[in-house]
Amino acid sequence: MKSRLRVTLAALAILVLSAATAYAHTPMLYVEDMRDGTIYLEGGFSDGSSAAGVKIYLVEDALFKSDTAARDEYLEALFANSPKERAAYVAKLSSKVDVRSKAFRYSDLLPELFEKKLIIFRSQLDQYGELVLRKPKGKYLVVFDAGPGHVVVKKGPALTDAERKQSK
Amino acid sequence: MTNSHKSARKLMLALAVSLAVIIAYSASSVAHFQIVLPSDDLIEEGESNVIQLQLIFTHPAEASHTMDMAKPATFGVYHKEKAHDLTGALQEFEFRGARAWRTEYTARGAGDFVFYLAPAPYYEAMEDAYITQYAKVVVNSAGFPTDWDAELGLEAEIVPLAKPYGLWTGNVFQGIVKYKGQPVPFAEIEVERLNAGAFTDFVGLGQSYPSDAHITQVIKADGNGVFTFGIPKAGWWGFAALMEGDSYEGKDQEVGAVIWIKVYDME
Repeated sequence: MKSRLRVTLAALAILVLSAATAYAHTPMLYVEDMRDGTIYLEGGFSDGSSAAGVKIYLVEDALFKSDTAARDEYLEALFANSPKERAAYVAKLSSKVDVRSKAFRYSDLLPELFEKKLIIFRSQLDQYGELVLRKPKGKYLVVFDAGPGHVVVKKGPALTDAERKQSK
Repeated sequence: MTNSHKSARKLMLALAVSLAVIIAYSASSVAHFQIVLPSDDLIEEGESNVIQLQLIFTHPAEASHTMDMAKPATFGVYHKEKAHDLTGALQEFEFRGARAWRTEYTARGAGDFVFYLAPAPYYEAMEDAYITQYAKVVVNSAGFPTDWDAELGLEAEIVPLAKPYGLWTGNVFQGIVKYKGQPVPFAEIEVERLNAGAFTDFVGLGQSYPSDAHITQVIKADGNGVFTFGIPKAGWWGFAALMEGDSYEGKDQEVGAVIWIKVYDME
């Protein structure tokens, strides 16, 4: 019994130490306003390791009060001419909503929250740790989520009136 | 005093003056430094990513004689493992009566921007030899470490072993001196601090020196070509490893590997 306890404790110690060693680096997020209605994102870590595949969220910068308009408008504009991409995106959300139905509305999708704020859009960094996204309307945050303790949140540059007109 | 005595005295005086001139020029030809100076070494969030770069061949510590630079053979930037040639973007300008070069560059994205220069060989008449100093400086954007320790393959190059930015006064800076890709054991390296205040075109505090020995410090690399320097003060510091290169146009050529770093006081 005692020896089993010792083995368990030793294994636990190794696990904890390994985790601490593996995640000793600091996550970094670079956000550049391209001034054309999009933002350029780059993620990385302080030790130079790759951020390929790290999750990125655009989040409405306001406490969620049952209003998904910011998300719905964003997805509507993004997938307006891309039904396949829309279907693939909704499938990734593990939503059971039938996106092919004529009655489909983005408001049918369950809201997802990040720290009590509405996630407008989910994506991930490419093999180079980069991503370009359309700006949503209103105030928003850009979230780099590489797991617990490795999250960076930055305010997103605003979509200007000129950029909004340009995108129409 | 006889005429022969007077003639001897005149001859001695002439010899003494000539010797003084030769020594003065020799002293000034030591401590020639190729400068590659960016207007910003650390681009932080919210700051402009447009930087100005000046390429000047001068005496940075004494802020004395500046040498004419012919148009460089190559000037470029290395970022995320790709080299971009900027030679065509260089514009000539006059710095303290001598020819120098400058350009503007927009640093897009995060990471290290390693600016490198292969100058045209400079003919130093006093030594009847050419001097060619290959110089580098790293500008970082957003703190992402990407290419600062890359070996660019310059004929002579200092490959840093410490990140050449984000340095505090009191830090130790290390690098490997390489010539044609090989470490140079016991390479001699001159170290000078840019006396920015003494150059009206630069921004920074001036520096006075208690002796000539303090103007250009000299250190040596170890048997593996690695040098170490403890940095005593904030500002721009240049490290120039000087070596005998292949002859050029029938003359001796001194080849140098130079790197510039900027150091900050911890408050």
